[in-house]
Amino acid sequence: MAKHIVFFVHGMGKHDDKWHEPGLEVLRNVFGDYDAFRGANFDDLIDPVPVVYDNLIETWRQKMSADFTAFRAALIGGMDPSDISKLGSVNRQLDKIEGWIGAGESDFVWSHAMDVVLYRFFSLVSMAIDVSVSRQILEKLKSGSFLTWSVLGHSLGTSVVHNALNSLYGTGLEGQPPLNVSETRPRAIMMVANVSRVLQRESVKVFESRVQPGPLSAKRMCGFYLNVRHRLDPITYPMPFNPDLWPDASTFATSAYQHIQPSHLHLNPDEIFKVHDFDHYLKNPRVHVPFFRALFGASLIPDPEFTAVRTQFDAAVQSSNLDLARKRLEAKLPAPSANWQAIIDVIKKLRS
Amino acid sequence: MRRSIVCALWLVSLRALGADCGIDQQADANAHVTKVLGLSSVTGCFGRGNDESPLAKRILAEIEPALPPTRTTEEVLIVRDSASGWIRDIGVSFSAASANPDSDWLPVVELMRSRLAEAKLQVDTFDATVEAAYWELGDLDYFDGALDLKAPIRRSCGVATAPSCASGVALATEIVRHGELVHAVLNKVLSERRLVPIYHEVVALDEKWDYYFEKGRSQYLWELALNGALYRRKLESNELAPPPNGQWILLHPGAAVQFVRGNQSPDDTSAVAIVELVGYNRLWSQGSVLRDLPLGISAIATVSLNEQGDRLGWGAMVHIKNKFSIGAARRDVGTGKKTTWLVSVDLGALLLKVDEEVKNRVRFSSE
Repeated sequence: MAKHIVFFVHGMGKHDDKWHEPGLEVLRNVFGDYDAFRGANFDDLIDPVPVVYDNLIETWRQKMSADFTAFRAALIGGMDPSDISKLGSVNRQLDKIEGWIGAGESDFVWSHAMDVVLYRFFSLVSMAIDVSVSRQILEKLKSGSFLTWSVLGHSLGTSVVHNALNSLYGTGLEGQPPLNVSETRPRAIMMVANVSRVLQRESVKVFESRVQPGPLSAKRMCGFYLNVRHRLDPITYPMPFNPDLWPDASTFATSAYQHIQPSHLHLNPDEIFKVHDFDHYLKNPRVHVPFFRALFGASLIPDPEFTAVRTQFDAAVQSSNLDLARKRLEAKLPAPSANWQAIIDVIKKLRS
Repeated sequence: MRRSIVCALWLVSLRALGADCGIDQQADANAHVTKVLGLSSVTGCFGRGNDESPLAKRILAEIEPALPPTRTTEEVLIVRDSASGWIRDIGVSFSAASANPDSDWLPVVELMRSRLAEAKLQVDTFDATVEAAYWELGDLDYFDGALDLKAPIRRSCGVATAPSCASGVALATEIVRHGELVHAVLNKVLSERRLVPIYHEVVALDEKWDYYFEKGRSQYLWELALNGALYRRKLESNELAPPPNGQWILLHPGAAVQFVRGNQSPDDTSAVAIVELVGYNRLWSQGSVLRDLPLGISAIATVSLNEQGDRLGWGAMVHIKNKFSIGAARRDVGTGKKTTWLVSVDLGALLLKVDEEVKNRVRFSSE
């Protein structure tokens, strides 16, 4: 039976083709909480597709690392082995260079922060990733056997989703005009921990690109754009995606564009970095209900039910530990006027 | 009266087939809306996998088989002809199911018929845009909301027990049934006519990028920046594009095996650290007899930190097929200038040729 395809596009760090499973499990677990879905099988309706692109970055890093390792070994091997002092000095300098260029063992900051820098500023990397993501989306869609398709991006993945879709729908390929939204388009684009604006390219600004919600008659890219930014997630603060009257006043007034700002904390004060986690976001009904409504119809989760679920969720998270977690996060919030470099600083601070 | 009996019989028949798709009388109009939407969107009773009607079962079964990965034009045209037949059958069926609608439903039915005719034209016309996205079921609406079933259901079911409610709900489910079937057919045509060809083009691009990063020469960050800066114009067009035809090489540390000319012992070779100062590696070229042969060249410096002679030697290397590099360099080794011949096959594997004991001793001594 045809299903709703949901593409999951990951963010920074190492990910494999199971990265989406914690978030998917959250959606699966909450699905049956709603009257309209009781008795329905989530897996009969949703076809989840993880989209993975960090293999490209890892391939580049490993090849480069191999060359530097060979250089280092040959350099050291050519030295007098009895001159321990000189060997130690050269080794230490090589260690520093190795760390800076990312040729050594990947540490957290390098694997996370450098993903952001590489995608944003190195056009060869970003184009390769955009092409790979486009391929993975088309690979699934080409069967034609689907009801709708939607894309969920997380963190850096929100920038990737934006750029890949913008390019895919603007590219005329050999003998084929660009894809047209009236042919097929994402039902919903959900940008979780949306950093697409702070990482936007000079050539395509997120508020002016093709990636906008609204009616097909206006050639809008998607039916629903769900912009999700946790109020205490510092990574979403620099240059926030927070437009007014976007993409136009009439669409802004509808549910086609929704700015969702959860503030729950389902974490220990010692693990405040989890505020940015994909599954942490999805737990809140304020996040997953708009997505379910976009896929299945808003009428299936009426407002009274939505209110009741929110109230129940909020009541369940009261804890004295949360004040400490909240204070720690508030202390790390950068200014909205900060730029992409603040994201790198925040990544380091969240893990310290 | 006759319509009421038909609707009642229809509801009974649905119950007989399976309670899952039955629509009992609901408490109020909104409940009817929710019920129809739920059965459509969640249970898939109308035009989807759980639809037991002969029309749906036949068309969904006929749509199912996918064409082989390599399609001929003839095969694509066969799909188009089949799709034309399916749309025709759906149209005939809908005309029968929607005969003599109530006044509340007449505009909806007429819009549906008009859109069905457009869909058939799109399928029949080879280059026409197949507007499958308009046929996606939203919040019990189609065509960007232009056909909204909620309002007429609410009007028909103002009194939940009225005959108009049962007939209205029955008609709504028929609209969804036929709408979903049209959507499935258009998606099939769209996939063969557009998505598959576009997919193949994007695959070709992706394979080139895979080649660039996996098979091409490695790049350090500054080389990536340089080559990216030269490539930036393509990125600014905001289109998917292939990689550059080649790679500039700049201050690239690596290693090679060196053979010193005139040495007596064939075992007297060693690894030498090199830095490719500047160079270019061509990956592809059009219209050249050598187009399938990646070739590159670099000016290099060899680096020796032992006490004898100059620390740097100077030379050049040629890179063949991204795998082999051969070159030569001259360095004053303390007793005069010597030419060394350099070979590199797999620079990563070269690490394994260095004395493991030396490497470990050096590492431990620096801790």
